[in-house]
Amino acid sequence: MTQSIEDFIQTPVQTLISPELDDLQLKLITGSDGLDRVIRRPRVQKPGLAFAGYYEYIKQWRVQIIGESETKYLQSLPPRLREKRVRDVTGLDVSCFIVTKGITPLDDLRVECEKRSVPLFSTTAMSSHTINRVSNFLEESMAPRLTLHSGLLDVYGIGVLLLGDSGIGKSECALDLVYRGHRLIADDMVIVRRHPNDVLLGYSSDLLRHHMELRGIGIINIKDLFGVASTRDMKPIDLVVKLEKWVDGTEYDRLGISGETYECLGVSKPYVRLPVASGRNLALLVEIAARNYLMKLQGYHSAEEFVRRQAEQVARQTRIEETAARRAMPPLNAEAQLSSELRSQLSRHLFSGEPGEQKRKP
Amino acid sequence: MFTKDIEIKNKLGLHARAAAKLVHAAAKYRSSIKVRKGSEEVDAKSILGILLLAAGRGSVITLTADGEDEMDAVAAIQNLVDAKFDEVE
Repeated sequence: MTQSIEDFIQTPVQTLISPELDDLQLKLITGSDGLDRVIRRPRVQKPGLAFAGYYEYIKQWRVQIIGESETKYLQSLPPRLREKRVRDVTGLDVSCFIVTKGITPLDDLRVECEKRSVPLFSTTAMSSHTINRVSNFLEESMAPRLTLHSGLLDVYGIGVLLLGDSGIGKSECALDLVYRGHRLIADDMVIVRRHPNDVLLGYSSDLLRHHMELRGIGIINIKDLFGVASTRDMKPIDLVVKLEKWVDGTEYDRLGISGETYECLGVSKPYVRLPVASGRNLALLVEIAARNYLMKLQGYHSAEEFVRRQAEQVARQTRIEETAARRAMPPLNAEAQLSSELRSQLSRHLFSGEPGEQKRKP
Repeated sequence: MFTKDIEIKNKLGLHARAAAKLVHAAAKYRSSIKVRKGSEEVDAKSILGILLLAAGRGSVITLTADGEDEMDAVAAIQNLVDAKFDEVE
Protein backbone atom coordinates (compact mmCIF):
# COMPACT_ATOMS: atom_id res chain seq x y z
CA MET A 1 0.00 0.00 0.00
CA THR A 2 1.33 3.45 -0.75
CA GLN A 3 1.85 5.93 1.97
CA SER A 4 -0.45 8.90 1.89
CA ILE A 5 1.34 12.00 3.03
CA GLU A 6 -1.76 13.56 4.46
CA ASP A 7 -1.72 11.74 7.76
CA PHE A 8 1.67 12.88 9.02
CA ILE A 9 1.35 14.26 12.51
CA GLN A 10 2.17 17.93 12.37
CA THR A 11 4.72 19.19 14.80
CA PRO A 12 5.92 22.61 16.01
CA VAL A 13 9.28 24.02 14.92
CA GLN A 14 10.29 23.60 18.58
CA THR A 15 10.71 19.86 17.82
CA LEU A 16 13.90 20.63 15.91
CA ILE A 17 15.58 21.70 19.14
CA SER A 18 16.18 18.11 20.11
CA PRO A 19 19.18 16.21 21.43
CA GLU A 20 18.77 13.90 18.43
CA LEU A 21 19.88 16.75 16.16
CA ASP A 22 22.78 17.76 18.40
CA ASP A 23 25.28 17.03 15.65
CA LEU A 24 23.83 19.88 13.55
CA GLN A 25 24.39 22.36 16.39
CA LEU A 26 21.38 24.39 15.35
CA LYS A 27 21.60 27.92 16.65
CA LEU A 28 18.46 30.00 16.88
CA ILE A 29 19.36 33.42 15.49
CA THR A 30 15.95 35.00 15.82
CA GLY A 31 12.24 34.34 15.78
CA SER A 32 11.92 32.47 19.09
CA ASP A 33 8.32 33.73 19.31
CA GLY A 34 7.58 31.61 16.26
CA LEU A 35 8.78 28.28 17.62
CA ASP A 36 5.16 27.15 17.77
CA ARG A 37 4.78 27.51 13.97
CA VAL A 38 3.89 24.15 12.55
CA ILE A 39 5.76 21.78 10.28
CA ARG A 40 3.27 19.75 8.24
CA ARG A 41 5.55 17.68 6.02
CA PRO A 42 8.81 16.04 6.93
CA ARG A 43 10.38 16.85 3.58
CA VAL A 44 12.33 20.08 3.51
CA GLN A 45 12.65 22.66 0.72
CA LYS A 46 15.36 24.89 -0.67
CA PRO A 47 13.68 28.20 -1.48
CA GLY A 48 15.99 29.18 -4.35
CA LEU A 49 13.21 29.36 -6.94
CA ALA A 50 11.06 31.38 -4.60
CA PHE A 51 13.81 33.94 -4.12
CA ALA A 52 13.91 34.14 -7.91
CA GLY A 53 10.28 35.21 -7.85
CA TYR A 54 8.42 31.92 -8.34
CA TYR A 55 6.52 31.95 -5.07
CA GLU A 56 4.17 29.08 -5.96
CA TYR A 57 7.16 26.83 -5.49
CA ILE A 58 6.96 27.23 -1.71
CA LYS A 59 4.83 24.43 -0.28
CA GLN A 60 3.03 25.29 2.90
CA TRP A 61 4.55 24.64 6.28
CA ARG A 62 7.87 23.10 5.54
CA VAL A 63 11.36 23.69 6.80
CA GLN A 64 13.30 25.88 4.32
CA ILE A 65 17.02 25.26 3.95
CA ILE A 66 19.10 28.18 2.75
CA GLY A 67 22.56 27.25 1.53
CA GLU A 68 25.41 28.97 -0.19
CA SER A 69 23.74 29.17 -3.60
CA GLU A 70 20.58 30.85 -2.28
CA THR A 71 22.66 33.31 -0.29
CA LYS A 72 24.94 34.12 -3.23
CA TYR A 73 21.95 34.57 -5.50
CA LEU A 74 20.26 36.95 -3.07
CA GLN A 75 23.47 38.92 -2.74
CA SER A 76 23.59 39.32 -6.50
CA LEU A 77 20.19 41.02 -6.57
CA PRO A 78 19.81 44.82 -6.40
CA PRO A 79 19.14 45.74 -2.75
CA ARG A 80 15.48 46.77 -3.21
CA LEU A 81 14.59 43.65 -5.14
CA ARG A 82 16.44 41.47 -2.64
CA GLU A 83 14.56 43.09 0.20
CA LYS A 84 11.21 42.52 -1.59
CA ARG A 85 11.89 38.86 -2.37
CA VAL A 86 13.04 38.11 1.16
CA ARG A 87 10.03 39.95 2.56
CA ASP A 88 7.63 38.11 0.26
CA VAL A 89 9.08 34.66 0.92
CA THR A 90 9.22 35.20 4.67
CA GLY A 91 5.59 36.23 4.52
CA LEU A 92 4.54 32.93 2.97
CA ASP A 93 3.52 29.92 5.07
CA VAL A 94 7.03 28.74 5.86
CA SER A 95 7.77 26.87 9.07
CA CYS A 96 11.28 28.17 9.61
CA PHE A 97 14.60 28.78 7.86
CA ILE A 98 17.87 26.99 8.44
CA VAL A 99 20.99 28.67 7.01
CA THR A 100 23.71 26.08 6.46
CA LYS A 101 27.49 25.92 6.11
CA GLY A 102 28.01 28.41 8.91
CA ILE A 103 26.98 31.30 6.67
CA THR A 104 25.91 34.43 8.52
CA PRO A 105 22.28 35.04 7.50
CA LEU A 106 21.71 38.09 5.35
CA ASP A 107 20.55 41.16 7.25
CA ASP A 108 17.37 41.37 5.17
CA LEU A 109 16.43 37.82 6.14
CA ARG A 110 17.24 38.32 9.81
CA VAL A 111 15.21 41.52 9.98
CA GLU A 112 12.18 40.00 8.22
CA CYS A 113 12.28 36.85 10.35
CA GLU A 114 12.44 38.90 13.48
CA LYS A 115 9.55 41.11 12.36
CA ARG A 116 7.33 38.18 11.47
CA SER A 117 8.47 35.81 14.21
CA VAL A 118 9.74 33.20 11.80
CA PRO A 119 12.43 31.07 13.49
CA LEU A 120 15.78 31.45 11.78
CA PHE A 121 18.45 28.86 12.59
CA SER A 122 22.00 28.55 11.49
CA THR A 123 24.19 25.47 11.37
CA THR A 124 27.78 24.75 10.44
CA ALA A 125 26.75 21.56 8.62
CA MET A 126 26.59 21.34 4.83
CA SER A 127 23.19 21.68 3.12
CA SER A 128 23.11 18.05 1.98
CA HIS A 129 23.84 16.75 5.46
CA THR A 130 21.35 19.12 7.05
CA ILE A 131 18.64 18.10 4.60
CA ASN A 132 19.30 14.45 5.33
CA ARG A 133 19.32 14.74 9.08
CA VAL A 134 16.35 17.09 9.33
CA SER A 135 14.12 15.14 6.97
CA ASN A 136 14.96 11.79 8.57
CA PHE A 137 14.39 13.22 12.01
CA LEU A 138 11.08 14.76 10.98
CA GLU A 139 9.98 11.60 9.19
CA GLU A 140 10.38 9.72 12.45
CA SER A 141 8.83 12.25 14.75
CA MET A 142 5.93 12.99 12.40
CA ALA A 143 5.17 9.41 11.36
CA PRO A 144 1.57 8.36 11.96
CA ARG A 145 1.24 6.12 14.98
CA LEU A 146 -1.23 4.39 17.23
CA THR A 147 -1.23 2.27 20.35
CA LEU A 148 -2.42 -1.31 20.16
CA HIS A 149 -3.49 -3.42 23.10
CA SER A 150 -1.18 -6.27 22.23
CA GLY A 151 2.25 -7.77 22.71
CA LEU A 152 5.27 -7.60 20.43
CA LEU A 153 8.01 -10.19 20.29
CA ASP A 154 10.98 -11.00 18.17
CA VAL A 155 10.62 -14.68 17.32
CA TYR A 156 13.55 -15.98 15.26
CA GLY A 157 14.01 -12.44 13.99
CA ILE A 158 10.38 -12.15 12.93
CA GLY A 159 8.43 -9.32 14.56
CA VAL A 160 5.26 -11.00 15.83
CA LEU A 161 2.43 -8.81 17.07
CA LEU A 162 0.17 -10.72 19.47
CA LEU A 163 -3.42 -9.54 19.46
CA GLY A 164 -6.32 -10.84 21.50
CA ASP A 165 -9.00 -9.86 23.94
CA SER A 166 -8.14 -9.10 27.52
CA GLY A 167 -7.62 -12.23 29.58
CA ILE A 168 -7.09 -14.59 26.65
CA GLY A 169 -3.49 -15.19 27.66
CA LYS A 170 -1.38 -12.82 25.60
CA SER A 171 1.02 -12.09 28.43
CA GLU A 172 1.35 -15.75 29.38
CA CYS A 173 2.03 -16.60 25.75
CA ALA A 174 4.61 -13.80 25.53
CA LEU A 175 6.26 -15.01 28.72
CA ASP A 176 6.40 -18.54 27.37
CA LEU A 177 8.07 -17.23 24.21
CA VAL A 178 10.64 -15.28 26.25
CA TYR A 179 11.26 -18.45 28.24
CA ARG A 180 11.97 -20.23 24.97
CA GLY A 181 14.65 -17.66 24.21
CA HIS A 182 12.71 -15.15 22.12
CA ARG A 183 12.80 -11.45 22.82
CA LEU A 184 10.15 -9.16 24.22
CA ILE A 185 9.70 -5.68 22.81
CA ALA A 186 6.46 -4.71 24.55
CA ASP A 187 3.62 -6.30 26.40
CA ASP A 188 0.07 -4.99 26.74
CA MET A 189 0.69 -1.65 25.00
CA VAL A 190 2.55 -1.51 21.73
CA ILE A 191 3.12 1.80 20.02
CA VAL A 192 3.12 1.27 16.27
CA ARG A 193 4.69 3.88 14.01
CA ARG A 194 4.46 3.80 10.24
CA HIS A 195 7.62 4.36 8.30
CA PRO A 196 8.18 4.59 4.55
CA ASN A 197 8.06 1.35 2.53
CA ASP A 198 5.21 -0.13 4.56
CA VAL A 199 7.29 -0.57 7.66
CA LEU A 200 5.35 -0.71 10.92
CA LEU A 201 7.79 -0.15 13.73
CA GLY A 202 6.63 -1.34 17.14
CA TYR A 203 8.01 -0.26 20.50
CA SER A 204 7.04 0.23 24.08
CA SER A 205 6.32 3.37 26.02
CA ASP A 206 9.29 4.43 28.14
CA LEU A 207 7.60 3.62 31.40
CA LEU A 208 6.41 0.14 30.52
CA ARG A 209 9.52 -0.93 28.60
CA HIS A 210 10.57 -4.52 29.43
CA HIS A 211 7.77 -4.90 31.96
CA MET A 212 4.89 -7.30 32.00
CA GLU A 213 1.91 -7.84 34.22
CA LEU A 214 0.98 -11.38 35.15
CA ARG A 215 -2.26 -11.92 36.94
CA GLY A 216 -1.56 -13.34 40.36
CA ILE A 217 2.11 -12.36 40.35
CA GLY A 218 2.02 -8.71 39.45
CA ILE A 219 4.43 -6.55 37.50
CA ILE A 220 7.70 -8.17 36.55
CA ASN A 221 10.77 -6.86 34.76
CA ILE A 222 11.68 -9.25 31.98
CA LYS A 223 15.16 -7.82 31.49
CA ASP A 224 15.99 -8.30 35.16
CA LEU A 225 14.56 -11.79 35.27
CA PHE A 226 15.80 -13.14 31.95
CA GLY A 227 18.82 -11.02 31.10
CA VAL A 228 19.85 -8.50 28.53
CA ALA A 229 19.25 -10.74 25.50
CA SER A 230 15.60 -11.34 26.42
CA THR A 231 14.39 -7.91 25.32
CA ARG A 232 14.88 -5.39 22.60
CA ASP A 233 13.66 -1.85 22.24
CA MET A 234 11.98 -1.82 18.85
CA LYS A 235 11.14 -4.15 16.01
CA PRO A 236 9.22 -3.85 12.74
CA ILE A 237 6.08 -5.95 12.68
CA ASP A 238 6.19 -8.80 10.15
CA LEU A 239 3.37 -11.06 11.26
CA VAL A 240 0.16 -10.46 13.21
CA VAL A 241 -1.18 -13.33 15.32
CA LYS A 242 -4.56 -13.06 16.96
CA LEU A 243 -5.45 -15.31 19.86
CA GLU A 244 -9.17 -16.02 19.76
CA LYS A 245 -11.55 -17.82 22.03
CA TRP A 246 -12.38 -21.18 20.52
CA VAL A 247 -15.98 -21.09 19.35
CA ASP A 248 -17.53 -24.25 17.93
CA GLY A 249 -18.61 -23.73 14.37
CA THR A 250 -16.24 -20.84 13.66
CA GLU A 251 -14.26 -21.45 10.54
CA TYR A 252 -10.51 -21.32 10.83
CA ASP A 253 -7.93 -21.62 8.13
CA ARG A 254 -7.28 -25.32 7.80
CA LEU A 255 -4.99 -25.22 4.79
CA GLY A 256 -2.93 -22.10 5.36
CA ILE A 257 -3.49 -20.67 1.90
CA SER A 258 -6.14 -18.09 2.68
CA GLY A 259 -3.60 -15.25 2.85
CA GLU A 260 -5.49 -13.17 5.41
CA THR A 261 -4.04 -9.78 6.22
CA TYR A 262 -4.34 -7.36 9.09
CA GLU A 263 -4.46 -3.68 8.33
CA CYS A 264 -2.85 -1.12 10.56
CA LEU A 265 -2.19 2.55 9.66
CA GLY A 266 -3.00 1.69 6.06
CA VAL A 267 -0.42 -1.09 5.85
CA SER A 268 -1.37 -4.77 5.51
CA LYS A 269 0.58 -7.49 7.25
CA PRO A 270 0.15 -11.29 7.13
CA TYR A 271 -2.43 -12.36 9.68
CA VAL A 272 -2.95 -15.63 11.50
CA ARG A 273 -5.90 -16.34 13.78
CA LEU A 274 -5.20 -18.93 16.44
CA PRO A 275 -8.15 -20.40 18.33
CA VAL A 276 -7.31 -20.86 21.99
CA ALA A 277 -8.45 -24.04 23.73
CA SER A 278 -7.17 -25.98 26.69
CA GLY A 279 -4.36 -28.25 25.69
CA ARG A 280 -3.09 -25.95 22.97
CA ASN A 281 0.41 -24.71 23.59
CA LEU A 282 0.09 -21.16 22.32
CA ALA A 283 3.76 -20.23 22.47
CA LEU A 284 4.63 -23.29 20.42
CA LEU A 285 1.93 -22.41 17.87
CA VAL A 286 3.20 -18.83 17.59
CA GLU A 287 6.72 -20.15 17.19
CA ILE A 288 5.56 -22.45 14.39
CA ALA A 289 3.68 -19.59 12.71
CA ALA A 290 6.93 -17.58 12.78
CA ARG A 291 8.94 -20.51 11.38
CA ASN A 292 6.37 -20.97 8.63
CA TYR A 293 6.55 -17.26 7.81
CA LEU A 294 10.34 -17.50 7.69
CA MET A 295 10.03 -20.29 5.13
CA LYS A 296 7.63 -18.21 3.05
CA LEU A 297 10.15 -15.37 3.11
CA GLN A 298 12.65 -17.74 1.61
CA GLY A 299 10.22 -18.67 -1.11
CA TYR A 300 8.89 -21.93 0.25
CA HIS A 301 5.20 -21.98 1.02
CA SER A 302 4.52 -25.30 2.75
CA ALA A 303 0.76 -25.19 2.38
CA GLU A 304 0.78 -24.12 -1.28
CA GLU A 305 3.40 -26.72 -2.08
CA PHE A 306 1.26 -29.41 -0.47
CA VAL A 307 -1.87 -28.19 -2.24
CA ARG A 308 -0.05 -28.34 -5.57
CA ARG A 309 1.12 -31.90 -4.98
CA GLN A 310 -2.34 -32.97 -3.85
CA ALA A 311 -3.90 -31.51 -7.01
CA GLU A 312 -1.43 -33.51 -9.08
CA GLN A 313 -2.40 -36.60 -7.15
CA VAL A 314 -6.10 -35.99 -7.84
CA ALA A 315 -5.38 -35.57 -11.55
CA ARG A 316 -3.20 -38.68 -11.68
CA GLN A 317 -5.72 -40.79 -9.81
CA THR A 318 -8.52 -39.56 -12.08
CA ARG A 319 -6.52 -40.55 -15.17
CA ILE A 320 -5.83 -44.01 -13.78
CA GLU A 321 -9.45 -44.55 -12.91
CA GLU A 322 -10.64 -43.32 -16.29
CA THR A 323 -8.24 -45.59 -18.13
CA ALA A 324 -9.33 -48.53 -16.03
CA ALA A 325 -12.93 -47.64 -16.65
CA ARG A 326 -12.41 -47.44 -20.40
CA ARG A 327 -10.79 -50.87 -20.43
CA ALA A 328 -13.12 -52.58 -18.03
CA MET A 329 -16.39 -50.82 -18.36
CA PRO A 330 -17.44 -50.84 -22.01
CA PRO A 331 -18.91 -54.32 -22.08
CA LEU A 332 -20.53 -53.73 -18.75
CA ASN A 333 -21.81 -50.37 -19.77
CA ALA A 334 -23.03 -51.59 -23.09
CA GLU A 335 -24.69 -54.45 -21.42
CA ALA A 336 -26.39 -52.18 -18.95
CA GLN A 337 -27.46 -49.83 -21.71
CA LEU A 338 -28.67 -52.69 -23.81
CA SER A 339 -30.58 -54.19 -20.99
CA SER A 340 -32.25 -50.92 -20.09
CA GLU A 341 -33.08 -50.30 -23.71
CA LEU A 342 -34.43 -53.75 -23.98
CA ARG A 343 -36.44 -53.33 -20.88
CA SER A 344 -38.04 -50.11 -22.10
CA GLN A 345 -38.76 -51.55 -25.51
CA LEU A 346 -40.20 -54.55 -23.92
CA SER A 347 -42.42 -52.50 -21.66
CA ARG A 348 -43.53 -50.34 -24.55
CA HIS A 349 -44.27 -53.45 -26.50
CA LEU A 350 -46.19 -55.01 -23.69
CA PHE A 351 -48.16 -52.01 -22.47
CA SER A 352 -48.89 -49.98 -25.56
CA GLY A 353 -50.37 -51.11 -28.75
CA GLU A 354 -49.28 -48.18 -30.87
CA PRO A 355 -48.56 -49.04 -34.47
CA GLY A 356 -45.44 -46.89 -34.57
CA GLU A 357 -43.86 -49.01 -31.96
CA GLN A 358 -44.69 -52.13 -33.83
CA LYS A 359 -43.01 -50.90 -36.99
CA ARG A 360 -39.65 -50.40 -35.33
CA LYS A 361 -39.43 -54.01 -34.32
CA PRO A 362 -37.43 -56.19 -36.54
CA MET B 1 -26.16 -44.87 11.00
CA PHE B 2 -26.84 -43.40 7.57
CA THR B 3 -24.91 -44.12 4.40
CA LYS B 4 -24.96 -42.58 0.97
CA ASP B 5 -22.90 -42.72 -2.23
CA ILE B 6 -22.06 -39.37 -3.80
CA GLU B 7 -20.39 -38.70 -7.12
CA ILE B 8 -17.83 -35.93 -7.34
CA LYS B 9 -18.90 -33.62 -10.15
CA ASN B 10 -16.62 -30.61 -10.08
CA LYS B 11 -13.76 -30.33 -12.52
CA LEU B 12 -10.90 -30.35 -10.07
CA GLY B 13 -12.29 -33.02 -7.79
CA LEU B 14 -11.58 -33.00 -4.06
CA HIS B 15 -8.68 -30.60 -4.31
CA ALA B 16 -7.47 -28.54 -1.38
CA ARG B 17 -10.03 -25.74 -1.31
CA ALA B 18 -12.92 -28.11 -1.97
CA ALA B 19 -11.66 -30.40 0.77
CA ALA B 20 -11.50 -27.47 3.18
CA LYS B 21 -15.12 -26.63 2.39
CA LEU B 22 -16.18 -30.22 2.95
CA VAL B 23 -14.39 -30.31 6.29
CA HIS B 24 -15.95 -27.02 7.37
CA ALA B 25 -19.38 -28.38 6.44
CA ALA B 26 -18.80 -31.65 8.29
CA ALA B 27 -17.43 -29.91 11.38
CA LYS B 28 -20.78 -28.21 11.92
CA TYR B 29 -22.42 -31.53 12.85
CA ARG B 30 -22.07 -33.60 15.97
CA SER B 31 -22.32 -36.95 14.19
CA SER B 32 -19.19 -38.85 13.42
CA ILE B 33 -18.84 -38.77 9.64
CA LYS B 34 -16.65 -41.05 7.58
CA VAL B 35 -15.80 -40.77 3.93
CA ARG B 36 -14.80 -43.85 1.99
CA LYS B 37 -13.32 -44.08 -1.44
CA GLY B 38 -12.21 -47.49 -2.58
CA SER B 39 -10.37 -49.09 0.29
CA GLU B 40 -9.59 -45.80 1.99
CA GLU B 41 -11.80 -44.57 4.79
CA VAL B 42 -11.15 -41.24 6.48
CA ASP B 43 -12.77 -38.85 8.95
CA ALA B 44 -14.76 -36.12 7.19
CA LYS B 45 -13.60 -33.63 9.82
CA SER B 46 -9.93 -34.22 9.07
CA ILE B 47 -8.57 -32.07 6.29
CA LEU B 48 -5.54 -34.27 5.73
CA GLY B 49 -7.73 -37.34 5.53
CA ILE B 50 -9.98 -35.80 2.88
CA LEU B 51 -6.98 -34.62 0.90
CA LEU B 52 -5.54 -38.11 1.01
CA LEU B 53 -8.55 -39.49 -0.84
CA ALA B 54 -7.55 -37.44 -3.89
CA ALA B 55 -11.01 -38.06 -5.35
CA GLY B 56 -11.25 -36.72 -8.88
CA ARG B 57 -14.23 -35.88 -11.03
CA GLY B 58 -16.40 -38.89 -11.63
CA SER B 59 -15.26 -40.83 -8.62
CA VAL B 60 -17.79 -41.94 -6.06
CA ILE B 61 -17.33 -41.41 -2.33
CA THR B 62 -19.38 -43.11 0.32
CA LEU B 63 -20.50 -41.01 3.27
CA THR B 64 -21.34 -42.71 6.51
CA ALA B 65 -22.68 -40.61 9.35
CA ASP B 66 -23.52 -41.81 12.80
CA GLY B 67 -25.20 -39.64 15.40
CA GLU B 68 -28.25 -37.55 16.18
CA ASP B 69 -27.89 -35.31 13.11
CA GLU B 70 -26.60 -37.93 10.68
CA MET B 71 -29.23 -37.27 8.01
CA ASP B 72 -28.63 -33.51 8.04
CA ALA B 73 -24.90 -33.96 7.94
CA VAL B 74 -24.99 -36.21 4.90
CA ALA B 75 -27.52 -33.93 3.18
CA ALA B 76 -25.33 -30.90 3.80
CA ILE B 77 -22.25 -32.56 2.35
CA GLN B 78 -24.25 -33.90 -0.58
CA ASN B 79 -25.52 -30.39 -1.33
CA LEU B 80 -22.01 -29.05 -1.26
CA VAL B 81 -20.70 -31.76 -3.59
CA ASP B 82 -23.69 -31.43 -5.94
CA ALA B 83 -23.18 -27.65 -6.04
CA LYS B 84 -19.62 -28.39 -7.19
CA PHE B 85 -18.33 -26.70 -4.02
CA ASP B 86 -19.63 -23.37 -5.40
CA GLU B 87 -16.67 -23.24 -7.71
CA VAL B 88 -16.50 -21.30 -10.94
CA GLU B 89 -15.39 -23.69 -13.63
